[in-house]
Amino acid sequence: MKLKEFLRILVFAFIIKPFVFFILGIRIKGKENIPNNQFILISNHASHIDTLVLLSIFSIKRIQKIRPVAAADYWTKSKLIYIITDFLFNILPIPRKDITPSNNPLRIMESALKQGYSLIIYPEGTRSYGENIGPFKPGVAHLVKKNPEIPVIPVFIQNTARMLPKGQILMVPLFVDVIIGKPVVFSRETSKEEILDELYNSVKKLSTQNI
Amino acid sequence: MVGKENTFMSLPKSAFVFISFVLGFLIIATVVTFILKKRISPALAKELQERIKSWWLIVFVQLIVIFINPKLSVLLFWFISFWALKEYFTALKTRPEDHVALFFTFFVIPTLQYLWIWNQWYVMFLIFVPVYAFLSIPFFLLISRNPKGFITSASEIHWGLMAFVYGLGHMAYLVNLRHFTDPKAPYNGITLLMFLLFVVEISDVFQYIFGKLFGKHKVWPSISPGKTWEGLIGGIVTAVLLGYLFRFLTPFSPLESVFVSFLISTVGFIGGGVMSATKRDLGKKDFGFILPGHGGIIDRIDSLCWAAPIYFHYIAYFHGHYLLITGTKS
Repeated sequence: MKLKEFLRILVFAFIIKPFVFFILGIRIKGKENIPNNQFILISNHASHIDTLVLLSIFSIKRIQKIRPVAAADYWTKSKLIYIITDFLFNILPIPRKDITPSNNPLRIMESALKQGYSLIIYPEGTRSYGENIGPFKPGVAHLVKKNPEIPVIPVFIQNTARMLPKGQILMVPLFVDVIIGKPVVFSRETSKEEILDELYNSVKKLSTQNI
Repeated sequence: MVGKENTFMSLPKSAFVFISFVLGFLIIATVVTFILKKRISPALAKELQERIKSWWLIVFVQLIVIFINPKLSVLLFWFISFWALKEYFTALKTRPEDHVALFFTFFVIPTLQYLWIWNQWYVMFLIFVPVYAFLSIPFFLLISRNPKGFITSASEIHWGLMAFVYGLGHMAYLVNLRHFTDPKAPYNGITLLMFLLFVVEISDVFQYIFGKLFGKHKVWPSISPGKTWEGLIGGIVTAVLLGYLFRFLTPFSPLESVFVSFLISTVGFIGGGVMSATKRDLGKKDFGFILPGHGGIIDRIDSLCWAAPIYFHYIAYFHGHYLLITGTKS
């Protein structure tokens, strides 16, 4: 085991997980829907808390094989922030603009999948204001279409928009309600548009469930 | 900080007698449910088992804290207040404008209130939430400069603080009480707290049991559909009876113990009703699902939030002269 992995285990076990479970407190519904092997997790995104919470749901051993996909322009802007987020969360930075064939986000995500990593993707492409789910960017549909064997888990995260909204520094420690839906698998024939619609609806449907 | 008088060994013998009784009760309850499992409906059996398991958890945590250092109960209650606030404000629809006020409500006010409790600053403990929190929260709501929904936010926040920080905090303050003249008295703050917890919770549990067994006439179906007159009377009578038997934990005379048990179990029932009304208003069945079978923390402590201040001020008024309650910081 590499030193980096070992340190990450320590940080998750003694800082992040206790913080998430005792200060934030998460209430999970549908934990049994998480498959035991590789997956692509898609979720609404309203707060920086989201990634902390989604990773903390998993066992420390599994966290090593999960990479949250992050916007390169935001997370690698400052060298220090990149070092920290890379070390703690093993983020997978992808560009949002000025895309060339050499830095195609699809190729970056696919190669991570090939290495056996599971991905956490926020298909809205940015944090939304409040709990309304914004339109999904098409990239995720391309990725799913190319890798139909990997199940997609839809997740809806509630209350983080109220806890640490975009532009706030102070955190209000409400409970985070995480609703995990049944894995979605697509056949090879499904078109990208249909995939995108279905992914959006799967998250949207979870948001209407009363926890 | 933690004084020498707060070690585990300083607990009066009555506390150990009481702890043995509680453990005995729980063992009997566990065995009875196990025997009854085959005879009652599976749903009821599961609910009973979950409730008893939660009771084991509650008693276990309390005992660990008492064994390490009774005064640590103050920290335990601070944590319970914090979690109750979490459940309460998560269930409410808060405005984005309330953000700073809510931060203050979660981190500053409970911390200070429990600091006064820990340091036994009696007057500050009494006035901090009703006066200072009441006056300061609206100020933080003004920061957003949006008057729409101001009254609702100010009221909701202060209501939550009064119930879950101020009301509950009275239980934590009990831990500080000691006998003025006789340090070897068979009761102190810890045993007084045990008496309160025991009577109120016994009343709750037996209201549930008698309600399940004989319940027919509903008390207030629009508020809590499960509460029946049969359950209520059975619960209070049992609580009064056990309160009378366990009066050795308190300085109460026999007649007084009957009166106090009746008082706190009745007020506890009202507290339960108040929280039920809150849930119905918000359209929720439970405040959360932290304790299996019970719902959230609030669903368990609802009656205590109401009973604790009444019990505390009864003691302060009638027994405060020889139990150590002074008007100034000691």
